Amino acid sequence: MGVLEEKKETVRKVVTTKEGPNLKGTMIAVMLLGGFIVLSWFSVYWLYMVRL
Amino acid sequence: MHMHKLERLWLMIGSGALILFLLVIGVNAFAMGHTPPSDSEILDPTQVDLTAPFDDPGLKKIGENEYELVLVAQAFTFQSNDEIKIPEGATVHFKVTSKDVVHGFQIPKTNVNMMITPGHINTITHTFDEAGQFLILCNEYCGVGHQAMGVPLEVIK
Amino acid sequence: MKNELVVDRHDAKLSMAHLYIAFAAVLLGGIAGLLQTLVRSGTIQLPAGIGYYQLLTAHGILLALVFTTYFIIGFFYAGMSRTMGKFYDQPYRMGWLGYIVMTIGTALTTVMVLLNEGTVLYTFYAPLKASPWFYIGLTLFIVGTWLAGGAMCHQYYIWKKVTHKKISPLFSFMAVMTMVLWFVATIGVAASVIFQFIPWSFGWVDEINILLSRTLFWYFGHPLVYFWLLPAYVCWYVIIPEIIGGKIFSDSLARLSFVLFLLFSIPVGFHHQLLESGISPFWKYLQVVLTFMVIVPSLMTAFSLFATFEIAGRKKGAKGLFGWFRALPWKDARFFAPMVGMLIFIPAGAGGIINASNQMNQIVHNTLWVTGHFHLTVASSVALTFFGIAYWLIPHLTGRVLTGRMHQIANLQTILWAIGMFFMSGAMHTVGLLGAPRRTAYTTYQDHPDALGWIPYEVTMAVGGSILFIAILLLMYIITDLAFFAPKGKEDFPIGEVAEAAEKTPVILENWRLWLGIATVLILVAYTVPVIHMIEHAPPGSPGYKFW
Repeated sequence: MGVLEEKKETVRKVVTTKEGPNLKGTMIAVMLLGGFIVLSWFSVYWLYMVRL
Repeated sequence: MHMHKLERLWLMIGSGALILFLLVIGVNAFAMGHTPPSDSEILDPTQVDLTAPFDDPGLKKIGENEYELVLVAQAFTFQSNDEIKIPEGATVHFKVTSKDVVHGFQIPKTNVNMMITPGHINTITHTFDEAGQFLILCNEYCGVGHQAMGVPLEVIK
Repeated sequence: MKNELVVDRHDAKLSMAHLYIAFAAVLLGGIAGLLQTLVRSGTIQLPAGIGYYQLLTAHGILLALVFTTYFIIGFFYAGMSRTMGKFYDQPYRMGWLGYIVMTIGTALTTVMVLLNEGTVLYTFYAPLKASPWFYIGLTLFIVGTWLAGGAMCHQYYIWKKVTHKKISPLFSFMAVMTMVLWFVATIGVAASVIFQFIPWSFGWVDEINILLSRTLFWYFGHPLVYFWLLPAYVCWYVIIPEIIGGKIFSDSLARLSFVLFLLFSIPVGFHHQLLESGISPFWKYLQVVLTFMVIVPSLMTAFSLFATFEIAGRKKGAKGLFGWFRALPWKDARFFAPMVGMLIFIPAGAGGIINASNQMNQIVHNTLWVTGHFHLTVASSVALTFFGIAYWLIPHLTGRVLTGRMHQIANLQTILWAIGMFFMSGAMHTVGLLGAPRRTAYTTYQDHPDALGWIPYEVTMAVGGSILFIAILLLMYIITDLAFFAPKGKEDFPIGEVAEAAEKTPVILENWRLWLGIATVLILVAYTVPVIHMIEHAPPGSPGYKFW
């Protein structure tokens, strides 16, 4: 393999593994989203229970 | 369908949260008796004044610290033959119908919130743990006087 | 198809015709909104001859029905032409016919509202009774949209026959799916308007079954919000990847999400009727469960979009957990406006889940919280995305370009919108939890302490609303420039390509009979029993009232 082809191999490994692309940032982002949903939901539920 | 393992994980967690919400409100509604106001009684909307108990709307004591408050919603007030004054700690059963259009029935800072549809009755119960000045207001647009449609409810020590 | 890079001239005219009306509606609706918030904060009193509720009716109809529908149809014509090729003769003519019918209807209803003959708000609940021409105008509007949908479906059908392709371009598939959803949804409100409201408002029939009319309306009213949302999703799924220099994460999952929207956005109307009598808690809860299922395709979409961003960013060399986020083209107005729309959809969607949560609805129903909610969803996420589309679509269709200077002004518009909405919607959510009612003119309920406590929030709403109005004026400046004055040239119509790693799209996703069949079954399951009940156990119907 020439030098250029070796370089391409390395770059690709950072972006994509055998299991698919690196989506750790995505996972954290959606988990934060989910956390926001859960937090806001239980806050209003708590308000409902307090007012019962 | 092929799905990235993190997406599968996310959807499982997300769906899990949604199922949790449904269980919490389901149990609270059906096992603890907190279903939303869904009365099924009907009456003739043009004969409200002649149909008991709406022929004499007002406050009636029915128990130790328990009351029934029958009100008739009409543009733009809630009719009651009595002043709405209740002792602290009282449980009030609200029973309301409308003589004309759809009205809302809400007491801010409580969970009392229901729709009043002509031809139907709606009911809701609330225990007023603390004394104070409350407001019964209409929160469904009913005409030019809609913003005036509110009556005070006083809870006295 | 690379040789379809420009929308055909005639299709461009049809598309622009819709966009002109859409943005005129934004301006008029926005003026109404500004006046409303100034009234509610006690800042001004309306001059004689204009009623608060009249303004409110106009605001709702112009923004939630006219702006949205015209923009969506115009956007879809352009995108279908771009991805499937020039519209064939018959669908093209049907498109213009639809436009004419829609516009006659819109004009008729608008005149009725201006004449104070239809001050019933855009939900026109019975037994408030408007002039029959108000309802006839609405009917023509809906029929016009059916013609538009028919034009698109016909174009799709011909394209399939001519090309023998099993899978349609992603944009066109999504556009057709959205219009199919619209057809199924509008059947309910059309039935109510044609068989209940029109005979009753003409006096041919004395009484109306209120509960049934509300149920038919909300059978329509919930999928209506998905009719608004799905075109924004089209932009996020299909167009944004191209703008950021990335690829569509998964064509199959994108199509699947739209299929799920068709299935689950309709049999859920009861979550707008949770506090009404005459519908049992069981059926309410069942539709709440179905409502929660329609949240899933949005969770899928969130993942897909972030993934698209991350992959694009990493490919460009971005490092770390969030370098890809910083690497996004924030200065590009075509990206920035829809992106802010996407971010706002997080609190918007969270609020929606709360609203639909059965008895929790008692905290928020008919309060300003609800108003705060839909100003985030349709008036921010959807609206900002539509504005972001217009920034490239209008110059593309008019043969002009989006200049660097316009990018800057557009980005300022987006920022002002976000700031204005933060104050206005933030205040609305908060004061709503305190019990302040929506759809209500200025009042203190005779100086009741509760109502006096709301005033600071209502003032905050007016501050936010004023900032939003400035943003609307800015938008009008941009749109006018892009339509008539910007330098001539070629503005791209970005259409994303699917990532190489994505698997082949299963043909079953375009099996319309299957999905419509399942959607029909779900609707019948969710509605048959409670609707029969509300017909069989109906009280005597109500006469009409004109309380304005």
